[in-house]
Amino acid sequence: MNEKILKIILGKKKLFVPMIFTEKQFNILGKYINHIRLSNAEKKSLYTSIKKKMEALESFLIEQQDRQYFINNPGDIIPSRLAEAKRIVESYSKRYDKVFIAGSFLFSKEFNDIDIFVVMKRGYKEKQEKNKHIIFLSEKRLASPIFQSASAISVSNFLIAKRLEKKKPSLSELMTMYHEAVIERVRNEERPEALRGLIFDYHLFCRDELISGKQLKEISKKTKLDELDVLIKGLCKKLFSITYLYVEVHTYIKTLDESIKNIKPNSHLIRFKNTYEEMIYGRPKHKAKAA
Amino acid sequence: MEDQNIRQKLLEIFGNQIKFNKNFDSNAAKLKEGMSADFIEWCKRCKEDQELGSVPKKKEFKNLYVFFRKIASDMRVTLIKEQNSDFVEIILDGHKAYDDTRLKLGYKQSSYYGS
Repeated sequence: MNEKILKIILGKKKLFVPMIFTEKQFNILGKYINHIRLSNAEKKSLYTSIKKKMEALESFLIEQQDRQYFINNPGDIIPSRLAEAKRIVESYSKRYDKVFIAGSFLFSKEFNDIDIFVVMKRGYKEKQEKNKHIIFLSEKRLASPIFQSASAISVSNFLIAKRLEKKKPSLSELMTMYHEAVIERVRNEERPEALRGLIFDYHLFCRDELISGKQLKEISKKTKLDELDVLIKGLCKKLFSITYLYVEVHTYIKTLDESIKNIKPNSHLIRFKNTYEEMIYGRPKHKAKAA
Repeated sequence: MEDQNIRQKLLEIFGNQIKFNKNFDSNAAKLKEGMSADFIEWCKRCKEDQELGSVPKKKEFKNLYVFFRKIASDMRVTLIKEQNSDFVEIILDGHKAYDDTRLKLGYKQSSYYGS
């Protein structure tokens, strides 16, 4: 029995007694929700007439749920995709309570897969079901900027709370993201995740803007290699003190110096070194030659 | 491609010193034909100095050179080489293990799977 409906009925006795339930039946429902032991006669009544009435009432809720969608920024969604997204949300709603669809499927003619987000109590998992990329995430993680941004253009079966938890990334995380973003750009990667992450964080922390997936895609297409150096310098200077940056980056520059001698090709490592030197000394100390 | 076949190909590329993670074979078995071919091609390019990697920030790992690659949405590869030396380890696993590896090497500060 649907507890939500049961509570509504018990809270509005005048509406339901005697029109739908008898006084006795109403009392049985009260006992049932409070887990009070029922007599045999009461059990019989519960599982025959009361249950049937409840099923009829529950059908209204199911019907209503099936037709209720929450659409964020409908103007950015391709109309034919909106209809398909609703169908998908409806289908996944049978299995999961809170579902939303976001990503390029909604706003871009070309897309790789359909991003379906399922909100659960805890944990994080991703899986692929044919062309569907399903991301299971917790309510807490939904508040993270990247998922709030994703939900900015979305179709859901629940009202997605606008709750933004900005967590400052660590210097190691930012440096890694920058390194990978440079590698992605050099490779001309189709889906540059780190590059998008760097742009996203720059807008979030340096410009106080939460950009949508659509904006992110457009900006990342245009961003050139040299601009990535500007983004990481801007982010680091905004988030960390010069003293902290000096202590942390100074040692890593020495590591890079050594690695540049050992590794080929090394143009990316030279780029990192120059960027970090500019960041803490104001200019590259001396330009190394790429091998 | 069979998982043992993938392991064998990688041994041919990198040599017998390379270590595989515990779940390597079971994860390799999940790769579709095209994906395993791409994966092997990428390994070859890493070996032939045609791919770019990164140097860990942690002092204790500063002698390493690390390559990362995404395979499908749920599989990640970490390939570790000693600078001026051999490839030492390959980890083919899901997000959680990938995250743990990055945490260990100092690419991340806290686990992604905290919440």
